[in-house]
Amino acid sequence: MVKTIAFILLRLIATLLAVTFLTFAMVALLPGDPVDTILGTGPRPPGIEEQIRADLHLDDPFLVRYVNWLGDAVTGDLGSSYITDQPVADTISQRLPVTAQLAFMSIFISVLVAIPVGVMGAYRQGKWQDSASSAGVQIALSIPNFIFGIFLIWLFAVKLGWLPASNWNRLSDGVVPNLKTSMLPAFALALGQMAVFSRLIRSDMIATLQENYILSARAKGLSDRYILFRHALRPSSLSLMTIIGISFGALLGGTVVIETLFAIPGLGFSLINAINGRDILLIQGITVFIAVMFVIINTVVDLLYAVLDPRIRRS
Amino acid sequence: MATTEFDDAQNAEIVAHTGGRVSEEETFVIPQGVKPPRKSVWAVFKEMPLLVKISTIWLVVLLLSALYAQLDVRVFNGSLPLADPNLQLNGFNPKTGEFGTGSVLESPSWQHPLGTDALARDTFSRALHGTYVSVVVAIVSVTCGVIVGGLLGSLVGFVRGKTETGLMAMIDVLLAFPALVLLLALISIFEVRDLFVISFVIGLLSIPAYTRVSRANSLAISNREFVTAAEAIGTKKWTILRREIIPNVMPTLFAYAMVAAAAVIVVEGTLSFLGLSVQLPTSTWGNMINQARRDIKVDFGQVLYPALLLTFTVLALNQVGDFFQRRSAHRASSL
Repeated sequence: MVKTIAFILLRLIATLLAVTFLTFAMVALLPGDPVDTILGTGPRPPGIEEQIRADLHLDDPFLVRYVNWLGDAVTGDLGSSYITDQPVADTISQRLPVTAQLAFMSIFISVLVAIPVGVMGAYRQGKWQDSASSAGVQIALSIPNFIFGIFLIWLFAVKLGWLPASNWNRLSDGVVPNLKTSMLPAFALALGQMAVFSRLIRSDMIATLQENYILSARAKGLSDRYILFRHALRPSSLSLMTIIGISFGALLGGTVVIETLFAIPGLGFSLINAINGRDILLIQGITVFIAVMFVIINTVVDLLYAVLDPRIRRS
Repeated sequence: MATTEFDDAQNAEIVAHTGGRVSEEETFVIPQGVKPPRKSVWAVFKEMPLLVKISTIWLVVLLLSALYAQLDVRVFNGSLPLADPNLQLNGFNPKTGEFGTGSVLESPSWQHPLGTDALARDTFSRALHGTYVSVVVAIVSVTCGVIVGGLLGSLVGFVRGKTETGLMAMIDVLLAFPALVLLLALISIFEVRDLFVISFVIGLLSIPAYTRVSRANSLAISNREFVTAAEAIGTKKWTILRREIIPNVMPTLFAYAMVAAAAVIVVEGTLSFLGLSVQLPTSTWGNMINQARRDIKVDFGQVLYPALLLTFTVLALNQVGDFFQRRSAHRASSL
């Protein structure tokens, strides 16, 4: 077990080094002079070229620059945007809570929907309820999240007028105003996850329901509902947790487009703004931050798995 | 021994592999591995469930209409019966001498089967031209994935050792990025955004996943008896790879490619929805949706048509991919 954990942590460090190196290299090895890329073709204030050269240590060898940059990044210094002058780390820490809230809400919604759908599919395997939920899963998997988002806007904002089509109220403005602006984007993000989760729960449950302990629970005369949710669902929670970890990547990608669609001031929206404004340092900062988050989340899932699964724990 | 030409050639090859130590006379009748007869495309089509049949037809129609739209522009200079996708209200196309006849946000009619968009351009024609972009991106990505990823994965799954460890570590790092974020970062670096660059970057980023899938299959196949048998009679590694591993990895990889193509089409749709794919006025499903969503209160149809095209295409690719997946799993178990 200690060996497993040590291995996972070692792999985490190696992956983090590689991911940060790749992000750094992507910007540092840009064709042409990085100063030109950063400043674009517009008019330049005097002295800014020298300042950028000094800031980014452009005269040092590549590896030295990487080590310096990584050292700064670890202490939370990702440089400052050359367009807004705001430190990249500040932008990230302002925008992160919004994106994190969206991500957690959509995972919560997906699990909430996926459990009954998946359990129903397994319990009524081969019956019409199963076919209906499978068809639903197939369709949900095929609708891109931004299209579902537009559909939600059309239905709830344009036709029914219940919720605003865009905008964002922070949690500090109160829970209800916040929910009004976060429900639609969270649902739009959740659709794909819902389908993936319920398919997983269904196939897991079908396997579990054939176990002997389910048979003995049934022989004891326990109710179907009790067996399904108390005895059979438990063992599926481990694989559900793994898939939640994995789907964080898709989710972080999804927030980019959903935040842009709903004009929500999160990390993804500022990434798109940075790309449109060619704000190279901000692009680099957000990319490396999201990638590092993703790697860490996956490692935490691996660790939890090692700690929780008795088969791995005892080995 | 009555043998066909093919049998002779195969026997000769086996003799060559064993270093010629087995003479022609001593050769027993070599069992000709029971090969399932190759099915024609039509026979495979007839096997499909109804929904998969419809999906296949849908995909073929899309492919043909994308070709038709391109032929109209490139070969026939717009003389085929299809409206000019970029002709605006009161616009004039000097090549064809056509005037823009539509008005803004028309509903569907015979002249404009899907109506017109906010600039009075024919939506049907724009959708067909957008199909071409999706088709190209999907084909380039599948080609890159199957050729580079498929070969690399088959190779390292069979050879193992340090090559495998090194390559898979690199693949893991690439897959450690959320795909869309890495793609956005790469796209933002290129200043030129034409169809070539976009499909090239997407194709490049598809390689890791294909490598992983084909490596897993190659690993499983390398442990099968027929590979051990080939090794036992001294067949060269390269020949085993070419004749045993790769032909058996490909069917599964092909099924995966269908599902991956669906994902790639969504990714391109997302990029162009964000305005980061092929530049306007070239139409793509994604940028049509993005432009039309501003008029969502007036005309939902303009959003709906490209959205349905995209969704149906993804659904169709998933259905066909699942069908081939089941088929190749069945095939693998009977090898």
